Amino acid sequence: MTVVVLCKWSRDPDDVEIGADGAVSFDRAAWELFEYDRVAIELGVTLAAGARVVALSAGAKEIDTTLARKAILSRGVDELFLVSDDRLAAADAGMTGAALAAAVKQIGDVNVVVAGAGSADLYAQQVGIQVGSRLDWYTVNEVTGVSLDGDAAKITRRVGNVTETLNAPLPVAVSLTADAATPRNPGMRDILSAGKKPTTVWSLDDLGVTVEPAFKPLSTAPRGGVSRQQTQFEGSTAAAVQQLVDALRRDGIVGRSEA
Amino acid sequence: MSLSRPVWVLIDGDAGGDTLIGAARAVADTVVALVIGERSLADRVATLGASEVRYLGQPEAPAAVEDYAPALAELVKQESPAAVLLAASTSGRLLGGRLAARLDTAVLPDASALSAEGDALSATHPCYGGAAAVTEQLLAPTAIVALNLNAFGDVAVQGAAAATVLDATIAAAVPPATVVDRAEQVAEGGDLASAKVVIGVGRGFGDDGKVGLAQALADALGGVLACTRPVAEGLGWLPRDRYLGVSGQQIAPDLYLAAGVSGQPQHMVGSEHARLIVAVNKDAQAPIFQSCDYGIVGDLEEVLPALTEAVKA
Repeated sequence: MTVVVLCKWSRDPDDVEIGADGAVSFDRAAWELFEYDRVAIELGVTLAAGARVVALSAGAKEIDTTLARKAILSRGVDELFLVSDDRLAAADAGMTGAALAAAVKQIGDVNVVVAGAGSADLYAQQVGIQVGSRLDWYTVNEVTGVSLDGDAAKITRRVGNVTETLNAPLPVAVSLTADAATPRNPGMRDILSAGKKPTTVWSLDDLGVTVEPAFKPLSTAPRGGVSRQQTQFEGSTAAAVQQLVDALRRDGIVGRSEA
Repeated sequence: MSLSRPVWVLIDGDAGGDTLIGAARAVADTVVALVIGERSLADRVATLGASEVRYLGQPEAPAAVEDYAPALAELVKQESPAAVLLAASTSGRLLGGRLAARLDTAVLPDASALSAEGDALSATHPCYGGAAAVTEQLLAPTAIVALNLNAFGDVAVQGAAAATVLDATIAAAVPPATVVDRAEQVAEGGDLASAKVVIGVGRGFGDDGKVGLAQALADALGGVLACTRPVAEGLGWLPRDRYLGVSGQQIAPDLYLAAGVSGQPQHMVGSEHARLIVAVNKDAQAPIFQSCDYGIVGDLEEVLPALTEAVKA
């Protein structure tokens, strides 16, 4: 019985800079284990409750660093598996899913795959679903809780405003919500023991995986969203507020009859 | 320019079918609406401007819409449409993901725009926490695209002739899971998704005792409260289903008034399709002032009560 937690080592999107011409700079963006990945690891470790729990990640070779290994291994998992291959640079969820599914098969004796709500940088919310589907396992998203009962999993999930509780025979692949668990901070013992835990690195060739991209990027633009008026109302609070109310009246927001 | 191969649109409820069909019609000559649900839904969909409507059936519990993935994958392999469009909802992402995996491709997530040039389809979606919009060409023989319906605005087809509904039942796979319980949560504090006026609470409020200032304004305008993720998850001033952003709710009210909110892209993505955005923040450098229609630089403890009174006058 092994629990596999999928995680991504990626750049903090808060500090990614997009030029007016669409040039993307990561110069100021630090590598991190994003919060939703830490939520997944926390839930996976708790779920395993002493059984073997391992972390699995895939990406270009630049993800295989001491910092990444320590960040992941200090969070309660027993081992780390990395699919490290430059063909996975800017991979879509299909490519990543294929690589990770092959890795899960290679790890062997896996009953549960846990994925976070989405990655920090792309937030496609697809990799967990891709992995489970490619393994032909029961696969669901928006999971708020998981517990094990013999060879079945009890899963709670949110679909719109409905909360479902399901019983599913193992193996299962679950993609969590952002709040499915509260990640704990690694203690000194966790950080020190991280260095002693094993990491296994595979290439796509090691796993016999070939990947075809689903997309070809054409252009990138800074995203200002819908263009806005950016009108500021100045002066005293009373004056500014009055101008705002007048504008909202003109726009039909204030003074409307409530249907 | 329009795709010559058909675009399929998957509809499993009344909300958003018009937008999906309208978005498809803008890029393809032939639009086929595939309907899962009650037969009457197919009849309503028939008026929305698709060239063809196929009624696939209704899943019998415990099967749900996502359990149609295997049968849909077979249909796609047989007929090779240019694309399958779905709503970027929980079930759309799950069905789309399962379908894409079976077709050895990936879902283009959270599309905000679609375009076609010759037989090449491309779509735009956000990246880097909402800071960038990336336009990608879709390379798979059948592209699977999940649409952010709010981003498409008013694309519904007007004055279309009603299409004939074809009965084209396919089988849903029987899931191995059993549903033990299903409970509908009533949204306390009013339904966020349908509210016309939403007041956003950010960390600038300082403590949850001040949140009442936002509630009073919401009451005066007939609106509901929302917030930023730190306010819900970190500080717990408001429930988690109230936060707007990349990983939270995404709304399109007539007015989103954000007070004490700095305006990070991850949050603003949640309200970017609001008709009007108003910002109240004491920091004149806060990024939100670039993302709003109207702004007041000031102390929300003064501005909000003054605004509440002025609105009631």
